[in-house]
Amino acid sequence: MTDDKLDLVQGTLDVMVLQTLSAMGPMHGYGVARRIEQTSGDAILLNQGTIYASLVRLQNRGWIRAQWGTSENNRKAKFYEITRRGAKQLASETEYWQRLTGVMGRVLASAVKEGK
Amino acid sequence: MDSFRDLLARVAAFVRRRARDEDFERELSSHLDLAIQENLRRGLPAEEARRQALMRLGGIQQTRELHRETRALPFVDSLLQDVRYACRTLRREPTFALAVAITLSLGIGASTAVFGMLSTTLASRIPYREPHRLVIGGAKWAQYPGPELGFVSGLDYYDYRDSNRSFDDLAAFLPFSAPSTVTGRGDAWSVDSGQVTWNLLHVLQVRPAAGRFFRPDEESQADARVVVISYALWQTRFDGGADVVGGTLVLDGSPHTIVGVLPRGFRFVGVENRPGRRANADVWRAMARPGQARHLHNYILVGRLRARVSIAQAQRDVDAISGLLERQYPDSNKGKGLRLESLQAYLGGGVRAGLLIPMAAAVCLLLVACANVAGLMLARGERRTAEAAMRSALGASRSRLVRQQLTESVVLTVPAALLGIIVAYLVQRLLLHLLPLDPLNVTRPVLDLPVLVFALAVSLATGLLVGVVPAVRGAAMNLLPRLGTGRQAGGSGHGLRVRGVLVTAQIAVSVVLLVGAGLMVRSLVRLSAVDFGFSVERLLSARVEIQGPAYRARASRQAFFASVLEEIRALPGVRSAGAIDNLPVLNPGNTWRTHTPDRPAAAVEQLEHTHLRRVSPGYFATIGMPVLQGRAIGETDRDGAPAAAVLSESLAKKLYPRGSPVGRTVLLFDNLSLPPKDIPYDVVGVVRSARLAGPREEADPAMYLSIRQAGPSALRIVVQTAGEPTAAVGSIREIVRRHDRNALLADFRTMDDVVDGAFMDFRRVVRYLGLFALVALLLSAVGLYGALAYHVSQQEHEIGVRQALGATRAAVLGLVLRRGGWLVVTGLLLGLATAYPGTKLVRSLLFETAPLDPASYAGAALVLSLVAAAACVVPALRATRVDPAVVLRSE
Repeated sequence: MTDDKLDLVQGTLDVMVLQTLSAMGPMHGYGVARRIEQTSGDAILLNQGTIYASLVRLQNRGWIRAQWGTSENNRKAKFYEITRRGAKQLASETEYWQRLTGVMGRVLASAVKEGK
Repeated sequence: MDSFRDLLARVAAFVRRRARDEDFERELSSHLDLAIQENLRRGLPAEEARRQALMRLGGIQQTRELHRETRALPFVDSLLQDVRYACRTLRREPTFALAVAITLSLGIGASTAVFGMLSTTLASRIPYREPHRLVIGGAKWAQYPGPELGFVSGLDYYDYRDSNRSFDDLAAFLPFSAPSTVTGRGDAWSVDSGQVTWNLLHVLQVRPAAGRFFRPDEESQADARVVVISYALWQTRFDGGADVVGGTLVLDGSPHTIVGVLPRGFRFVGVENRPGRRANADVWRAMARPGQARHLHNYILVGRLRARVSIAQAQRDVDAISGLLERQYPDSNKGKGLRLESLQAYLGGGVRAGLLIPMAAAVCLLLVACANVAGLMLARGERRTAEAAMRSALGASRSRLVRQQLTESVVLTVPAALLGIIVAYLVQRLLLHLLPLDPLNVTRPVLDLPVLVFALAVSLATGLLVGVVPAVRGAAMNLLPRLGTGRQAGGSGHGLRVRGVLVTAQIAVSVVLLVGAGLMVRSLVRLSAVDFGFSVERLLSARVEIQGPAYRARASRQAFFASVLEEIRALPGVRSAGAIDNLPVLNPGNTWRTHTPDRPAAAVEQLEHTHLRRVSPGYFATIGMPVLQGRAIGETDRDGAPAAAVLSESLAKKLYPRGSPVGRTVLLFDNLSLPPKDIPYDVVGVVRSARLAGPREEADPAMYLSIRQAGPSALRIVVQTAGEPTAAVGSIREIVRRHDRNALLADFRTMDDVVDGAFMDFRRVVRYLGLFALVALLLSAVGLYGALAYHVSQQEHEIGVRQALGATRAAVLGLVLRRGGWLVVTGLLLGLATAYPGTKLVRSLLFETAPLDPASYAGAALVLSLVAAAACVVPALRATRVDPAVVLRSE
């Protein structure tokens, strides 16, 4: 395992997938995986296979839906699309994560100061 | 909400898992295509493009499993997988599966059967509406503090009925049915008649099938001469005709009007739970108020509580009434009360006690069976360590392996459960023969839903129980070294120890059952050898009963029996004949109190108990009771002559410890008359004591009076024949019919049968205890054999080496036998130690056999040792045949 890559905190992958689909519109699984890798600047250690577990989870909850279609280079692929419930969920998750990262940032910053 | 939706989606995915699998396969391949395309575009060679795509994905198989787990029900999924796997392995080992199924089915079947009976008797199955509101009531006396329900006086009953505030209605019944004679419809026949209050059906909430039950006004008449008959009687004697209501039935010589028919299958549960001794009758009469007295106690009460009134509340209510009665009638009611009990509990109590022994035996059997199967599984688990190691190396977690093992053992119990249900059916049929369950309306095997659920639960529990030992052991083992050993894993010391414990436990349980059975057999032998004090061979008896206006005079009744006996004595092949009012053993009769004029007793309680029998001249000679002093009851002991009595030896010794009682006086204490009085009799002789009330009773003190100084209308004639007793039946019937066509002649029995009947209950217990013990013994033998055979196969290598190093056959034999011997001796000692407290269950049934009877314990030990020896010898001999060359080469 390479040390400079991040392990994903439980549950974060789902949010990333939702966000990706929300931002990019319908995409297939491979596209979602590549997109997450790219936007994270390849900082995330991702087994692309885990994307599919995440997609199934989101689908089971009714936050995304899937449909077979044709990819950019004319291949059959399954396309995922965020639903309205998914968008709502994403909004609340985004707020949560922003608050959490804000708090974490402040706490850690003060800890660093005191440590000095 | 979302998690519920998730669950639904998962279930849907589980149901359509094949389609979802295919869908995902396509998605996966499209993913790989896309990834490979991109890698190729980046200029990688084809082979490397594919490798990288797979690497980034993180493995196809892993992705598949992750997907499956996330989308559906992984637990159920893997469970199904395990079940399929288990079925496959078991199909490959049919003998193993069959052995397990048969062994477990015995245990499961036996316990299911007993559970079925227990649950049926526990659940409200007495056949009346809202049975929990029904209570039974009997007298309780301050001077006899016991749990029994005493008989209630008729007048007290009316007071309880009329003054209580707790019952919807309260009825009373005579707790014995009495035989009555029906005449005027062909030959006279006998019918059991009962006596109940007019409101009984109202209490029980039962409607007559035809006509009506009794009316309140019929209670106030001294003899209303109306009867209600049973459905069975209506069908058999009246052909189910509609005109039965209003018809006439001549009962004991007087015509009665049939006013109604009870519903089909109606059974009224009496107090006596023993077969043949309950108040089930075919003809019912109304209890009459005239003639009842405070001091005559004959009835048992049954009442229906008002809604929302508890038994405790009702008890307080009747206690208050009892208090009032005590104050009002101090002579007759001092210390007298009424005890209430739930009818359900009352009737169930005896049956449940009767089920305790089979229950305990069945549980023992189940345990033995479980131990056996656990042993088998353990051996099998050891054989399969290599397989387990392989699976573990391929990524199966320990908990997964344990789960798989448990699944397998549970799967194994499915055929066992199915077989067990058949076994349960058979065992229940057996139990129905053995136990008096019909008062609770349990007349056929019970295999209803709760019972089947129980069978399933027991099977599941057994499956887990027998699986958990090998599974946990398998998981605890370090499997790595086993990987790749083609040879069976060497018998680990620990595995053998566990099996040893199992075998020891089995043997112990078998010993307990054997000791129990042994004690019972010994008691049975003692009982069968009991000297009743009279002879039982070539004796025939029958009930003769007369009634009607022709016999109103006492002398005419005496003349009838004298003449009949006279003619029977003259029959060829008949040696002698006599008659008695209550036949020994068959009719135990009541006990009375007696004393002597020169020993004035202070209190009734200090008087001697005695049986009272009325006999004809010739009775003692016929039944073979020798006259020890004085003379027997003779022709001269008739009305007008001094009242004569013959005493049994035991009573004579009690009343006149010194000297002969012949020529002296005994006083019979008659507490039926008011005030009670003593009736004097001249002692004319002493006869040998006999057991009148059954084999278990000591030779009873008895007083024999002359039927010629009394006037019974019903007697049992006793005939001693030269040859086969039953040959005389025809001519006796002819004689009685010639005397009076309306005389009842019924119930021919040889004395042999009568005595035999007294052992019946006991024989039954012996039989099923013996059966269970035998099966447990066989199972233990199989378990012991299996453990040792396995031990030998595990030690083949060591034995081979020893032989190669010069061990003799005897040494090898000794090695195996020592191992088996240890198990047997430990189990035996454990069993013998447990048996003593275990015999508590049968202790009350034992007869002249101590609970520590050495012969029973020694016998059990001997039987077990023999069987165990046989089970040890075979594998030991096999060990001696191990060929060192073969074993060593296979290394």
